[in-house]
Order: sequence, then C-alpha cells, then structure tokens
Amino acid sequence: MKTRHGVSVFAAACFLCPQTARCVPDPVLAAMQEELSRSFSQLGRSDTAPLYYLDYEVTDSTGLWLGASLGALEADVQNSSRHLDTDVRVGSPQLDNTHEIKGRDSWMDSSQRAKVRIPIEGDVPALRAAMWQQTDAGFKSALERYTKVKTNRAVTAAEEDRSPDFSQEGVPARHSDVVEYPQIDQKLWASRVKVYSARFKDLPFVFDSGAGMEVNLVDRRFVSSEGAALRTGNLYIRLSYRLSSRTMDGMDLYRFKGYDVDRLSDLPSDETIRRDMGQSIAELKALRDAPLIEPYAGPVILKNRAAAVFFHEIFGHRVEGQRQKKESEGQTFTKKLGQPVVSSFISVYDDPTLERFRGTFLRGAYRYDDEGIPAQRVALVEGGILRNFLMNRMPIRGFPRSNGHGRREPGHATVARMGSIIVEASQAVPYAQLRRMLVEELARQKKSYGLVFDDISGGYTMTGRGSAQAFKVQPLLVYKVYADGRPDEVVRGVDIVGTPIAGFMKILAAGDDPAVFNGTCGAESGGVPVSAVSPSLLISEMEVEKVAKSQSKPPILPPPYGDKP
Amino acid sequence: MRRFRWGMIAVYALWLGSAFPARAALPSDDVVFRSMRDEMGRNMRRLRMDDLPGPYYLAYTVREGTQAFITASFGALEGSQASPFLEARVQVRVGDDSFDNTNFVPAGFGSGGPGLGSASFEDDYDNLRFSLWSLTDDTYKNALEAFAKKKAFRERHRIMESPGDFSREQPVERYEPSAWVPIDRGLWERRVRELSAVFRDYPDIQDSRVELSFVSGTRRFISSEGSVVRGSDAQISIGVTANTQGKDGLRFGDSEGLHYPSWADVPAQGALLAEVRRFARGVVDVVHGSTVEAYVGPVIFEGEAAAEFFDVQLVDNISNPRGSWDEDENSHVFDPPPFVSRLGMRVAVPWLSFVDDPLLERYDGVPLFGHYMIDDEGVPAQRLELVRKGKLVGLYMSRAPIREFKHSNGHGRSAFVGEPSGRMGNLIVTPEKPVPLSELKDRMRAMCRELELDYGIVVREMGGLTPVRAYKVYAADGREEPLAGVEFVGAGFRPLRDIVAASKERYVFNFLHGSNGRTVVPASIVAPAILVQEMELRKTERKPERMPYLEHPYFVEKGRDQRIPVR
Repeated sequence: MKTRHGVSVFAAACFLCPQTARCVPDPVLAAMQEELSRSFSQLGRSDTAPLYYLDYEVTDSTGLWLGASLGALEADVQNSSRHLDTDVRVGSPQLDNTHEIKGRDSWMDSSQRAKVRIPIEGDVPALRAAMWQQTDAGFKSALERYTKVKTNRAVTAAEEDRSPDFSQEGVPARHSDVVEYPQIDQKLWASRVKVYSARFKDLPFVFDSGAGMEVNLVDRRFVSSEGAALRTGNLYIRLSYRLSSRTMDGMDLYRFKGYDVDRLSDLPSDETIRRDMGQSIAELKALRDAPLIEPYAGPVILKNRAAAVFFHEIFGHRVEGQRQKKESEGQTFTKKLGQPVVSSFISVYDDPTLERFRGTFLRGAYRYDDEGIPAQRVALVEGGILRNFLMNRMPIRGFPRSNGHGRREPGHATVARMGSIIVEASQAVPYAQLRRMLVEELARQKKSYGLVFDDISGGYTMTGRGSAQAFKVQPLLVYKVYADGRPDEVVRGVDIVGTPIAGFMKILAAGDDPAVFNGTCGAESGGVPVSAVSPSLLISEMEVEKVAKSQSKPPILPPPYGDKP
Repeated sequence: MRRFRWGMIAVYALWLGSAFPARAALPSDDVVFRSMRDEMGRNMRRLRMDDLPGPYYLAYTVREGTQAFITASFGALEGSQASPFLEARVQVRVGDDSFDNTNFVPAGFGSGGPGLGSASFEDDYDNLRFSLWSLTDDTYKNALEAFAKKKAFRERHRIMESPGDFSREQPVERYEPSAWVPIDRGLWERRVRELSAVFRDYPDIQDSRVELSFVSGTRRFISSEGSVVRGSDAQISIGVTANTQGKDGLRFGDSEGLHYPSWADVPAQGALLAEVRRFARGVVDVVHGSTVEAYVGPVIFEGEAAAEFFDVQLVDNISNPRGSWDEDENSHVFDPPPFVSRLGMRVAVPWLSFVDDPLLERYDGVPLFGHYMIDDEGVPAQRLELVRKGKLVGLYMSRAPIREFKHSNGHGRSAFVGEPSGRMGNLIVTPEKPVPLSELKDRMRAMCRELELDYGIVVREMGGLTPVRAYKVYAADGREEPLAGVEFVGAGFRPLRDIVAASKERYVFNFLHGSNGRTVVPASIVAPAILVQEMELRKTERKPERMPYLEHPYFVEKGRDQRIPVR
C-alpha cells in the first residue's frame, strides 16, 4: 500500500500566533516549513523509493552553568545552541527504512546519528541551507537502509510482531507556547553558589565537593509533512550540591542533592539548604565509618524517592513500547498484559501533562512529544494489573497508535520514554506505621534486622537478550533497622541481587508520603528530563549482597587546608 | 603590545638538586604561584605510598584565562561562547633519572601521562591547592603503576642498555607580567558572520563554516628542580572550512587556518574577507577541475604545499627521537622516527639547510606561530641546526635522552593535555642558490618539453601527502588548469634528495602541528617553493557519491529572484 499523506504548503505567515497577541512571524518556523514543503513535494517523486513522511525538529537550548568548589567559582558558562533533527521515512508505513534489522547484521543497526548544529539566528537562507543538507543526507541514508531492510526481511525468519513501522495518527498538531528565559541576577547567584560550596571546606574526609546553579531553557519547534506545526518550551532550573569521599578499602561514596524548579522563587530558603547540607555531611561521614553489608535476604523499606527511582528503572523502562517489539529485547512484560505484575493495591501511570505534583515541579512534564503528538496520561498498571505500554509512533501488536511518549535528545532517533511516572497506593499508612510494620515482618520472618533504602541512584544498562536484563539501581544510603529496637545503623556497599522485578509482587504496604524524584534519564534516545513519584514501600523480600568495590586507595596525604605544610 | 614573549630577566639557580628549593623569589602578590609551590613542597616531602618510593620529580603547569569560540555558517551565527577557565597539569616521575615511569605507554586506557584537571579561575589559594593535591595523588599512583609495568617490560625483553629517562638541565626562573586581553565579542560576532556570508556568492559550495577561537591568559610552570616560569598564553585562530562535490560526485573538503599571536596581528576585516574569497575560489577551481589518470614527471610545491612537503618529508622523521616502549606492542606509533639512524648522513640535496628557531618572533614582518621562549619542560628554547648542507646534524630533543644526544635542546613540547616530546617550533628552510619563482616554472616547463610531457604539475596545498590544490601547468604556454582527485604514489624518502631548485620567495605557513600519537603544538614553517625532479601521481581511489537530490535552496531562489540581498 502506498500511502501519501497530504502535504500542506504553509504560508510563512503567523498562523501560530494567538489571535490577541501582536503577530511576530517566527522566521525559524517559516524556514522549516518552506524547506520541508519543497523537499517533501520534490523528493516524493524520486526514482528509487518514495519518501512518504518527513519531519524537522529544531531544539533551541539556552542556558547558564555556575559551578563553585570550596568557596571559589570554577565554571561560569553561558551557552546557546540550536540543533536540527530530521526524520525521513521511505517505503510505506507498513514497511519503511526504520524497520529493525535482525540477525547477523543487527549489530550494525544503530539509532545514533550526528548531533547537527544549525544557526541560532533567524536567518532564513542560512537555516534552509542547513535543513536542505540534512534532508539530502537523511534521504540518502534512508534509501540505503530501506534496501537493507527489504533484503534483511527476505533472508531472516518472520517476526513475531508484524505491526507496521509507523502509526497513523489523528489531526496533526498546531500549537505554540513560548517560554521566556528568566531574569537572573548572575552575580548574585555566583556569590550564592560560592557561599554554598564553602560549606564543605575544612572537612578532611571530603575529597571532592561543589555547588552549582544550572538554568536551561529548551524551546522546540516541530513541523511534519502531515501538517503538524508546533512550538513548545520548558524551563529547567536546578540548584545542587555534591560531596564525595572514599573509604580505606577503596569504596567511593557520595551524596548529592538537587533542587529542581521552573521558577527561581520556588527554590528553597537558605536555611533549608544549609540544613540539608548539614544532613548530607553527616550522612557522608556516617557512610565512611559504616560497616560493609553482609549478604541479606528479607524485608526492606524503599523510602519514597528511592522507591520512585526503583520503579522508574526496574519497571518503567520495561514498559516502553519498543521493548515489546524489538527481537533483541528481553520482552519481560510483553505477554503480561491483563495480568498482575504488582501488588494489587498499587497503580502506576505516566503523566507528562502534570506540571506539578502537590506543588513540586516535575521535570518530566511536556506538552508535545518529539514526534509532535500531544502528551497523554497513560495508565500502565491499574490495581496491580498491567494495562498499557508507553508508545511512540512505532506500533506494536495491539497498540497501533502513539500515546505521546516519543522522546529524544537531539541527535538521536525517537523511542518511547517515560515522562513522569507516578506510583499510587489505594491504601496508605503514615511512615511511622510502615516502619512498625517492617519490624513486625522481621519478627514473622525471624530476622534480627531489616533494611531501609533511603537513597538509590539509577543507571542505564541493558534490557537486551544478550546481556543481563537490568536497568541497574545502586543503593547509596541504606540503614539497618533492628528487630530488638537498637538504634538504626548505616551500612555501605549494598548491591541488589539479580533482576528485582519479583519485588513488585511482594509490596506489602505503602506510606502516605509520596515524594518526587527529578532527574535526567539516559537511554538509547539520549538523555531526557524525567520525574518519578512514589510513596515509601514495604517489600516482604529483597536480596542484597556486597558491592564489588573500586581498587583505588584514598588519598595518601590529607587535604591541604589545615595540614602542616 | 608585545605578547607571546617571556620576560627578559633570567635568573639561573646555581644548583641541581632533587629537593624543592628553599624559597625561590616568587612575585609576592602571585597567589597562584604560592598555592602551587606550597602544595608541591608538601608532596615532595611527604607523598609516599606504603614502602614504595615517593616522586623524584614533580612539575605543575597552570593555565588560566578566557577562551571564546564563535562560529557562523552561510551568514548566520551558529554559536558564540566565552568563558573564564583555569586548568592544571601535574607531572610525576618515580624511580630516578636513569630509569623512571616515562617514555613508556602502559596498556589499557588512561593509565599514563600527566594528570589533568580544572580548578577555580578566581586565583583562590585553597581551591587550587586542593585540586593540585587531588591530581598529584592520582598521578602519583598511576606513575607507580606504570613504573612497575615498565620494569616488567624491561625484564621480559631483557633490555640492558638505556640512555636514561630524564636529562639533567639547569633550572630556570623567568617571569613576565600576565597579559590578559579581552575579546570584543559583539565585534567578532559581526565579523565572523560576515566572513561566513561570503559563501552566498559560491553556488558550487554545498556546506561551509567560519570559526574563531580565542585564548588569552597566563601560563605558570614550576618544577621540584626549582624552575619557575610565568608567561602569557595567547592564540587567535580563524578557521574556514568548505565541503562540496566535484562534477563527478567526488566529495571534496578543504579548510584553512589563520593563526595570530595578538589582536594587533589580525588583518583588517577587508583583508580577511578577501582571504575567505580567495579560499572559496580555490575550492570552486577544484570542483571544476579535471583529473589525470597517471602522471610521472616534475612537480613544483609552492606556498603552503612546500611547507607541508617539508613537514612530511623531514619534520615527522626527526620529531620525538626517543619514542616510547609500548606495552601493547602492536602498534608502531611510538617507535623512534626513521631518521634517528641517519644522523650524519645525507638526507637532502647539499644546497639546502634546515634550522629550527623558536626564538624568532617574526619572519619578514609576519608573526611566527611556532615562537616560544621556554619549552613545556621548563627548558629555554634554542636555535637548532637540523640539516647542514644536506646532512642531518640535529634532532628535536626534549628531556628524554637518546644515545646520540644526552640533553634537551629546548624542544620538549606538547598541547596542554599531552606529555612533552621533541617537537618543532619555527622551521626555516634556506636554499643556497635560489631563483625567482617564475624561473622555477620556466625550468619545469623546459623539463616537460625534454620529457615530452604536455604539462607539469604545481601543488599549492596538501593534506598530509595528498594534494588538495593542484594545477596542471602547460609546457607550451604556461597556462594553468585546476586538478581534482589526484594522489601521490609511493613518495618514500627520496623527494628531499630529488629537489632540483628552490625559489627566492619564501612563504610563512602557520599551523597546528600534529605528529604520530602526539598532541598538536603551534608551529611555523618558512619555506621556498621547490621543484622536484620526478614524482608520480594518479587518480584517487576514492569513490564518488550521488549529487544532492535537490538544489541548494538559496541559489534556487537567487536564480529566480535576484533581489535577495547578500548580507
């Protein structure tokens, strides 16, 4: 079937302007539309294979990074860049150049492309020149790949999932929201991060530390041959600090805290930051002096933000659409649709349309994805039953359309990604009670102690069949809670054993304390801003062991300040 | 203002020692030096891992200033950034000068070489000391590891003889006030944009870019032997690149780098515009050029190509004479260069002399990019005789000794990220009986007629040893015709001995010199045009690509509507 989507030849005028606003035509969008329309109409007539879809996404990034250490400024960088991504599809939506290449040649199949910088100014000829060039390069490689796809398909076994390569969607989006870069008193912020960073001076066990302020305005424009034309933006502000140490046996330890907002006025007070810093210092010191964990299997509590990261890494990545289709994927959840995957009082959804969660800014929010599809709330798990997957425009069996989760960092092909994943419990108890329940569970399982995971970090590894199927999580701060009421004790070197999916079915109870984790998630389509929200969770069994440590010794001499010369 | 030049005061310390000097007379207001000296002193005295030896030598280099980067293409800015920076390099040697951790490339990633880091650009005593402390610790541990591996390597290969690893040199003390100049970003954004708009007049060029990179600041060096050096650091470079395809679809890319030591040396905008246009026209020449199936005959190397010829034929063969032992043993990148064994032998025609003189600031009024006063190992630069009447008499020496030369000749250089090795500065090529350039061409035409060739070849730009800009010169009337897609066949080491004449006119080529497995250093070659008796050229083996499906949008519209303004 040869589907020709209608081409709208846009007037370079100002259809995107709200009717009331004074109309200033956007030359970047005009350049995109002019070149797209010319390319699509002419390349569609090409000799080898028909171009049936073309889109351009232009991502502007304007930002500031102020970094300080020990009371002195180490980075003062302002940056603005503009990147172009072109998506070129030849063949038909049923089978096109983006189709997976299987078998012997699959290792050559990378979605990695070059990150293409284009002019940051509104100069139409210069912008069009860059777009022309990228379109030509993209078209040529699409033709080449399409030939390979057809051959590969002829010589390899039939696929399990024979869904088309590109979804048919409804009315193309036309939308414009322009987010302004905030007024920032740079001198003031420079002096603030300096003052914050000075807090870690004179602590002989801190081997590296710093504080920073980062502002990044991301402004995206998107046009497609289907007629989409939109512009949408997000502002990300992060104030952060970090401090690290190393134990005598060569284990690296660190504490990090980031405050993510989209309004400067939402940043916490100095007093709060100082209190948090004091706590982080105490935690680092405790970790340095902490004993190593012994292998353990038993009940644990994942504190809210730790539970959020856990769900993001262990659950969220496995319900991304492409992982149900790609033959090289583990497909953990592909055939679990309609079946229980989590304890029955837990529901999970991903909702990029939420800008805040109980007043806290969500980095994972966006209005349109990188394929021009409106962001949508997706109920992934309802009452413990798996209901849906995160979808971009690559259909999978039973899910022919996108649900607005096609995301990427410039320079990558779009895949389905999380925005803000939110874990909800239909029954919740105050944290103090959850902790009592842990102690009761210890008694039932005849364990002398249990574990509380206070902080864990995520890390992208692999979900493929050829490697360990684990989006790895690394516990950073873990406490032993004793059954006999002794005070809690920090332990270090905790590593979760195996692929901890089983843990989801063993959630016994949840706290009434949902909290937000804001971060940047890295996967095959690059780094994208995300959020994860969860209450604290009591899990009846989790297995941990000692982490493999680094071989480096701590510094031989103490830090210079305070040391005799 | 004079920059790129060290201060005139040179106070040589009177001893050679391994301990840190009591108190060198540092400029009292220089916090950075104080921080460097205090941390180095502490480490020299106390840094020891268990029962292993401490360092016998430490060197710190700290470079701070402002860097800026402005790029534009086709008349619009692509980026503009300026930021302050401070970076530190720590070199650690363990063992002793007869055998230490250097001149050795351990297997595995990132396990050798100097320690690199950044710190506050605010000249903060504590912040810098902290960074140096941490870097010294890491680098020392890596050095110990490399030292152990190197000992094992020596055992395995039963290497008995060694010229030593580190030559003893006089410590040097030299200060120049920091010369930190700003960049007028608004002005240069306008200029770079305008330079990039030149390409709107060249429909044959598919893709182009103009970049300005700027660094200005101060560089400080101290070593545990007592060297203390402060100098300024400045580099202004304008890069122009263009990519396109020839008529036959063959890809063609070319770039040009213009390098200046100070704003005062940067030509006026009019002259820069003319230079970019000259470059663009040259690219267009190649697009419309013809190719040759095969050619054997005389070749003239002129201008930049002559400099590149000497770079490939001589400089690469006498740089880093020590080489390094490579634990992996599967690459020859770190082997000593081929000419080390030809010392005292004839390597070029007897009427050519080669001298490298980093002390020269200018040649014929043109600033030399390879100028420096002290090398990256704290050794004063020296004028170095390399080839006398065709015979090889010198090599580029760092402090890594070889059997023939036990000392540095002030050519230990590297980019900030690298380990210094024997490298070039300003190479000056001097012929004994030069002739005017026009005569060189006449001689080539005469040779062609004698050989019954219709044309000879003149090369004006090369990339490595591949001609980028080459022209046929017809024997009959001297007419020139551009060539595209040709390469030399089997050039070997003969060409230096096959030069038959050189021109009176000498060309200054400023560039960033890269060498096998080594980082880039600013360099200059001053060279006459030369006529080589016989070289062999053939059509390139590269494959053509399909031309763009659509025409360049700007030139389509320009063709349709001449009113589109060219900014």
